Amino acid sequence: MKLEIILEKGQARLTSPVYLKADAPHRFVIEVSDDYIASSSDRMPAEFQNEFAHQHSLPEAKPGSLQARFNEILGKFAHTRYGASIGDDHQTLLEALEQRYGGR
Amino acid sequence: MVAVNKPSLVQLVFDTNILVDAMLARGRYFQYAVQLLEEVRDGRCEGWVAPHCLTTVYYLVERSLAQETDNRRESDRLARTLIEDILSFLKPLPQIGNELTGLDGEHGNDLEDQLIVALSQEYLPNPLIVTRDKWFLTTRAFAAHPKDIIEQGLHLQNPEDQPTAFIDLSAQQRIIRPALQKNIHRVLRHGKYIMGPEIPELESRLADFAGVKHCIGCSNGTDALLMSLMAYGVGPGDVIFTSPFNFHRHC
Repeated sequence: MKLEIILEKGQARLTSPVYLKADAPHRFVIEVSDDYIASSSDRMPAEFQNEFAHQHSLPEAKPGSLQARFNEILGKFAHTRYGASIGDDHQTLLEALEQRYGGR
Repeated sequence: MVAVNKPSLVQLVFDTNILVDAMLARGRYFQYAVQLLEEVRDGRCEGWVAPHCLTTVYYLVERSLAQETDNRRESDRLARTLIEDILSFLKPLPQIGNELTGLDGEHGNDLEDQLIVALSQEYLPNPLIVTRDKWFLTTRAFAAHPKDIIEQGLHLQNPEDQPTAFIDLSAQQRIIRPALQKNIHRVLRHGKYIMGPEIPELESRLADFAGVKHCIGCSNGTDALLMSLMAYGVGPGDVIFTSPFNFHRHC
């Protein structure tokens, strides 16, 4: 059976629901040509690009500040990161839950 | 650093996305999120978080850090440490379960968001939800973006020019609310409502505080006065001098 999938906002969505048997695999692979894959800078609006030029830098922190505390806890992981939309977070949460509980 | 935790006129309720932004220095506005949390940490305003958000915060932070290391134990430890750290100054909102009933089930919104609203309205007098989520920002008057809160000083304002209450027990309670609730539930669990184990503990701690040998719990102030007079052997014909600054029934 061929299924139609729409790629939208970084996520794949079936055009109509498909229900699988209980013993069917639940992971499938779709192949997309690298030529069509956008880089993170391609996806970012132009007005944001300057602001994100400093990505991956250590967040500025005054001694005793909360940022200094976060930097101390994170150690080598203390750096600025790209923003995430509410939808991005939701997708990340679903992936994290699937990874933790998938197959149980 | 220890938070002063004095009651404030507005109570900030931090949404999941704001906590993750702050912890991971994520996006354009993370400095505002960190600054607001710092205001809470330093006791300039109250900060709360809905308990059910914390698991989501954990998953998002852990997952993000896991993308930068193969060591999942490390990402797990860091995520837990960050949450533990913010919980040293952010108070978890009470959540006893029945807040789930009566939610309006608005379309296009998830239960997590609705619970944040329900808990904030149920337990706080003037909540202000700190969020980037457009659902909150467009549908709730008591939600604001961290940048707007900082720039307009919304967290330090008196929301409706409310007069300061002469006796504000709810504000007093909010300072100790998590400990208060934990201990109320402890009593409910063991069910010893009279002469339970909390009584000797309180007597012992009060005796230490007052620097005296004994402290005896009693049911009311009148009994306390009567017991003291009996201990001194005061009887008919004796004269007692007392302060006029007292509750009239004691005198």
